[in-house]
Amino acid sequence: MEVSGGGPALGLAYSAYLPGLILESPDLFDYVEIPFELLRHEAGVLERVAAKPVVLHCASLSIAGRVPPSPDVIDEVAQWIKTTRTPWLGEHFSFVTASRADTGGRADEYAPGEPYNIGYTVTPPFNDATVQRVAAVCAQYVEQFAVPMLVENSPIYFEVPGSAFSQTQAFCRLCEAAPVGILLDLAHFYISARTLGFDPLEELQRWPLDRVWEIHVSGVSEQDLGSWDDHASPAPEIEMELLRIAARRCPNLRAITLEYNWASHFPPQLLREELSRVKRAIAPSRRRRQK
Amino acid sequence: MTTVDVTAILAAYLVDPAFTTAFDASPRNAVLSLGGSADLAREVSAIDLDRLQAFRGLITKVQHNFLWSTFPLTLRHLRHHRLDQPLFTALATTHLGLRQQGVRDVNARVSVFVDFAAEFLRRARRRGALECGLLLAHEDCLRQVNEPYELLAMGDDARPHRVTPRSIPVLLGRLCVRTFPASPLPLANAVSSGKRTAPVRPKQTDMAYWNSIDGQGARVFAVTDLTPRLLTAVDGCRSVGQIVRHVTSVRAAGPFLSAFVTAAQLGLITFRSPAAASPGPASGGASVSKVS
Repeated sequence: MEVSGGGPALGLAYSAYLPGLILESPDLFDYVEIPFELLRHEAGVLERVAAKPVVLHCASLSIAGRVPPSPDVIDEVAQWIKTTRTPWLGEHFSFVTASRADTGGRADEYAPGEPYNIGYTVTPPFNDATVQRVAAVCAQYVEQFAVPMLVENSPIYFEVPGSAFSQTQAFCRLCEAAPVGILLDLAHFYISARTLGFDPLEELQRWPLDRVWEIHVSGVSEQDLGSWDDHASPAPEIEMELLRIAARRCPNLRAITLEYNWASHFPPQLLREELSRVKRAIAPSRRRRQK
Repeated sequence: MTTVDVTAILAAYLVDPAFTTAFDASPRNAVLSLGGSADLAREVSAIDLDRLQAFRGLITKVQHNFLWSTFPLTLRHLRHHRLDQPLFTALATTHLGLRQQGVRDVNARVSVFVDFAAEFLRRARRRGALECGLLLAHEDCLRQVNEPYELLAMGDDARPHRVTPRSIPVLLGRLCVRTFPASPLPLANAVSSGKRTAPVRPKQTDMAYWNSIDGQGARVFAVTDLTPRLLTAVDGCRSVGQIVRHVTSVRAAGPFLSAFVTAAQLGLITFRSPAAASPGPASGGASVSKVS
């Protein structure tokens, strides 16, 4: 992705307010991130953001699960990769589908008579079997799709039974085993830190940061039962601290996406402030690179 | 043969309400009933059930993101008071039941959400529940009057001064009258502009929501007289006299004629002469309800 002035490109995740914003302020940001799942059901979205490059994001490949998506889904992802000319494909280190045991459960609307489809990404147990599966599947997709694949850290909301090591170790092992990059979601990372009780600023140093190509920034909702993903509110300050470190320590960082896409309306002034916060956070490392 | 592993157990918990109930009662027995091993049952039994349930609530919440276009103030205020996660966690079973039935229609899902959330907030003994309930009812009324409609009956008399008890009024838009425990307007304005909100002081208030056929958008006003109540009985068939008797039990319509004249002058209704053929039921549509 070409960005004027050097440094990582700044993008926004697609939401209904975005086409209007592009018309009003075409130079406010560099690209649009669009979920594959949205394009599947509303292909017209692509035309509405035609003025901007597109980064394709995906939550359907279930790369950490034992049940692969249907061949139709994989074909459609491949097609949208070509159509959008995305520079890479982002996908979560998670599962969405799982084998349907004989629970007496009835079919659901998403996949009647087929494996469970949760309709949301779920963090898997971190163990050798999972890492090997993700590495093998990603290697296969990289070849099949002919674009780089970035694997995103999903948020950890509870300790997943069957885990043998940490998410950090899982990503280190994955990067050793497969030709993938990392999509580092700072909100997810912070949520995991809150759930498991580790220091996010220290833990980040242990990640294979040279493999980080893209970063996600979004809100976090603090509730009685912990911290939760929230794409409808501004990012907490800790994310900007993490971003400062990441911008300095991730030599291959190409893009930062602000994901404020749950609400059909996000106050424009607030959005501009969020973009400014991100720019301020990465400014020192940008200057350093330009010297 | 199906292999039961942690991902299958979690998926069943997150998708199948029957399994969720069994798991909540006894994770170990639920895993064994699926054919999972004793080791797996032991491992899974250690899971933090409260967080797993809340995660189910998060998924339900995200799968209701379409509500943001209609209920932005309610959702914002629910989040402000940390009521969104408990609400959607409670809604999860109902939501998954609908999903199993293949209910995709957005209007049907909105109605289910509104009914469920209103009851949840009414029962919730938590700070902010009353205010969230007010906003929910307020935005629900706006939703109702903003729904597209067809004007089935047309008036043929644009001379309000000639209104008689036999005149048949026809609504020129949608009207919704609701009784609130307090006016939702100050709260809605404060939340909308991001200002701090003061606690609501209960004072029963009737609110009228009106959206005219001229497409000028919804208007909201406190009801200070009988006019909105009379207008909610307008169905394009009944005469002024019949409406007055229906709403007030008063036989003489004379004292109420001025309310209809005013409504016509405001562009809320028009009239057709009693001699004209009956056009069938309803015009724009009106409803009356109460927020408990």
